[in-house]
Amino acid sequence: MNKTIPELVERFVKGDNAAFTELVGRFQKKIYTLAYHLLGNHLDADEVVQETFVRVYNKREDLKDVSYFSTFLVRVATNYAIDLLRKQKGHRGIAQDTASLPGEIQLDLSQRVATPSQTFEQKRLMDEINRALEFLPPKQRLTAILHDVEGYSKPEIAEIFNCPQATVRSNLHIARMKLRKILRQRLRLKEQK
Amino acid sequence: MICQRALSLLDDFLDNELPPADAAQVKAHLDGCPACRQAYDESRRLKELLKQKGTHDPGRDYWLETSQLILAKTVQLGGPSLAAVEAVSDHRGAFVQALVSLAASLVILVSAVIVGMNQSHAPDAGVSGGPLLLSSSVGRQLNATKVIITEIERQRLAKGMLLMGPPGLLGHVGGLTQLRIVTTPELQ
Repeated sequence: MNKTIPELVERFVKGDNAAFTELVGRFQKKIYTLAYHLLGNHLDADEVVQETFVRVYNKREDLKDVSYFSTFLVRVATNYAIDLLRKQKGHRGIAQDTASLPGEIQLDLSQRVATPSQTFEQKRLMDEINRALEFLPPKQRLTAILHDVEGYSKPEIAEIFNCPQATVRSNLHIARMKLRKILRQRLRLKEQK
Repeated sequence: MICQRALSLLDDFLDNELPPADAAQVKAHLDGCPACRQAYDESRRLKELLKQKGTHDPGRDYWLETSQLILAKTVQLGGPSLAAVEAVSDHRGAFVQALVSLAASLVILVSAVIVGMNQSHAPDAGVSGGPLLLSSSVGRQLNATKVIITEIERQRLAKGMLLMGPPGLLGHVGGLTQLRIVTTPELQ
């Protein structure tokens, strides 16, 4: 029978490494997706996944005081991703490396029933959104992605960042305002169609 | 309701987080104010687009290999022992069987690589310092003097994140400094 996450975490904290293996299996896709949204390329997302779990392994003692493993995991991942973003600042932005990944599948629900021209237009629009996100400081970018892309609630994001909900609201408001400003022309054109 | 107040509540209205009375007031304002309505429409459209933001599925092999890499790294930290890995093999079938053999090889491999790194030369890929982990898919392409790897693997190798498995490799680890790294975009 499948063990619950709290059961697995409890076993992991007590030194059951098979439980750790199971946790990696259950959460690696979630962390990869989040990191990919934030960093925009496979290599960095891959690095975040690996480093996150290694760090969690090293911090297993801290898990005794953690209510939600998922939140703890995302916090570790986002901290590392923010470090990466800061290191990259000035070097490069979001790398669109999809073409370099053989066999890679672009998952975009909006493209499932689109015609080729709609698909092309949608891809261009998504590229513009990615570039616009690149202009945001890490915390604002991450807040917008966690809330509007990944669907986390404001209290959950506050828990992840260990900050007041008011800070999350403020970051989200500023992020959306900046994105709207950058993408205004596109958003209006889209509305008119 | 004035525009400033309506705009300050726009995010919460958009996220359906306003009390019903406030939401009704904002809605009434938007119905009568084209400028605020436009701001709302843009925000709504932006939120819809962000929700559609695509992601990547790097494929089943990637998840398996990444699990192996994480476990290999924690083995170095005193993590999952071979016994622990074997304990879950009943549930994971062929993959974990492969992982067990890989982990076993890895212990030997890491030792051998550390010995190799004590030599003064660095491999052609420019990797130096820290343990080098090599990939099983790459291992199959190995011959005495040449390793053929994909571009992705090359970049992971440069980051010290590549895992190379046992087939044919162990005999060559001692001569790692003489290996030539050849990158191919297609090989996976």
